[in-house]
Amino acid sequence: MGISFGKKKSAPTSRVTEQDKAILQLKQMRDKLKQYRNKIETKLVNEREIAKELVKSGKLDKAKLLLKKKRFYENNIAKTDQSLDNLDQMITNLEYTQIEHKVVECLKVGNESLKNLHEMLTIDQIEDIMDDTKEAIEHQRQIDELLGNQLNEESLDEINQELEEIIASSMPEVPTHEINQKVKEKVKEKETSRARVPVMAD
Amino acid sequence: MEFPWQYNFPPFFTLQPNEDTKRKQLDAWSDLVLAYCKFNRIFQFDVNEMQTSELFSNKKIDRKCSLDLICVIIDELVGRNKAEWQMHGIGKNSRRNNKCFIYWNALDEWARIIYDYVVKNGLQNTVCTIYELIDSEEVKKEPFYRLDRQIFLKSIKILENSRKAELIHLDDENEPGIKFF
Amino acid sequence: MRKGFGIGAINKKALQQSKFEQKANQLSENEMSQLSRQVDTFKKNLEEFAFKHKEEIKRDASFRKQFQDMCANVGVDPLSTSKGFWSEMLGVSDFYYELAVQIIEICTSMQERTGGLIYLDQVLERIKKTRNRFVNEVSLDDCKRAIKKLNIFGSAFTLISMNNGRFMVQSLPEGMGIDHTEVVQLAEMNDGIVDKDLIRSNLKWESFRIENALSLMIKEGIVWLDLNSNKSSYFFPSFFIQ
Repeated sequence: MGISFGKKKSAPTSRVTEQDKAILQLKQMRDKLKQYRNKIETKLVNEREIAKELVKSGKLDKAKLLLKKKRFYENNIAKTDQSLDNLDQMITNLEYTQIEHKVVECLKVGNESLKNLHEMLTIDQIEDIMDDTKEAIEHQRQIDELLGNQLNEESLDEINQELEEIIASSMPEVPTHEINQKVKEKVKEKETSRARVPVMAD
Repeated sequence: MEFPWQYNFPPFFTLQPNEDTKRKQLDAWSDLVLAYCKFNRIFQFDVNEMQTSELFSNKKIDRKCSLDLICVIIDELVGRNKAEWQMHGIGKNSRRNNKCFIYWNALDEWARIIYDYVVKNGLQNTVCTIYELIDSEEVKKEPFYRLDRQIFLKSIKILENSRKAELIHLDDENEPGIKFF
Repeated sequence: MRKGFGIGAINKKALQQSKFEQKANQLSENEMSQLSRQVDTFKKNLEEFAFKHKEEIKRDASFRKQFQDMCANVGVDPLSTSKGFWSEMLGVSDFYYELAVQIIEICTSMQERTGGLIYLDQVLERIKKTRNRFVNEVSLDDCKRAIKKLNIFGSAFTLISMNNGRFMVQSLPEGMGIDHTEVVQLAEMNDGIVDKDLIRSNLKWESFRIENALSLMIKEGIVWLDLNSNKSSYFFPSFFIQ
């Protein structure tokens, strides 16, 4: 199938449908009517001019005849307009129906694939998944609850109090009696020597 | 329309012997022919008939192009894809006749312009008649309004080759229709 | 006293000689330094003058010509020194340099149409059009000077003097000979058109010479051939510019 060398590729399949041809026929008819209408309209303008001339030169009979003809043409135009209107409606309907048809086709395809998808998942499977999901959610909720309970506001206050106590107990006590001169000097001496850690006098 | 200065320069109507000068001359003639045809919406002409037109004969300076010079100019335009000689007969027996198409828009440019219109007006997947595309009131402001039918069909052929359009032949009595994609 | 012939006399003479030479050197040195001082002073004055009137020199074409003439009289050419004091102080050199570049640009852009031959005043007109009105006034004299400066590129740009006192700039890579110049001058008096008869009757040339001159001009694209009712005429597009 199509492997033979040197053979010209067959022309791509036509994308023109029977409806397209019908529409084309209608449009061609419409064009013809339009052209006919244009022709008559120019004729009307011309004959009006001629009638004017005839009236001017007193040839009333001829003018009357011409005006009769003109009335006939005007009737024709009205009829043509009616036909054009019908044709246009028909074309619009056809074109719209074609689109509608396509929409329905698309919907069909969509529906089909939706169905296929649904078939791939049975209700049981979905229920299982839902159950699993539910369990997981429950599990998470429990974890949250536990964590949240441990650190509510009350326990935070307790923690703060404990922290303050620790800070207070680790501070050195301020001496309450006079330090005699000798000890002071000794301390100084030791400070200057920097060899040892100064000893607090008691 | 405004003619270039060369139009009033008598040697412009004599094919120049010097290659460089000839190049300048043919450049100027190409521009002039395209501008003239675009201005007067001429899509094809017979060389013999056109020789006496204002384009190829300047009465003010009493000069006109020889048929030979006109053919050289058309050949130059053909080389630029801006013109095409019309042919007599088919296949090997076909001969060039005296008529030529003038494409002030090259065929692929026409094709692009038409397709742009189609896209802009949502005409894809729609069947259209030639009449509504180039003669009707709707396209009065489009550049392809009253476009030469043969040129129009040549442009559609280009679109057909790129699968953007398809001609629909119903019968021999009526013009084909076009479906765009 | 006898004239000295002895060794002493010779010595004395040599001494005198060297003393004379010394004096002479001294004198010429004096003169030189004085001279160079004078030249310096003059140059300084000239510079001061030029500096003082810098704007006028740049702006006023006739004043610029006077200044140029004065410089030429004392052998100073402000144009030839592209570097150094003059150009820095005045920008005069730049002025002609720029002008020359503009002339080349115009001649080249018009070459497409003129085949390389154009009236100097038409060049000037186009220069004035491109330069805006705040920029210096340019004169024909400036253009001529600028074109003469272009001679360093060989004879690529030359001036042809016409009978009516106008000048044409000719910008051909090869440059034309005297014969061609004469044909151009003849064409100028005949609405930019020549034919063989006209050349023969006016310049009294033999056919060979006429053929030669015309065929080169066709080859260079200066003239276009016009065949009308079997008569060949040669048109200079340069003369058909409005």
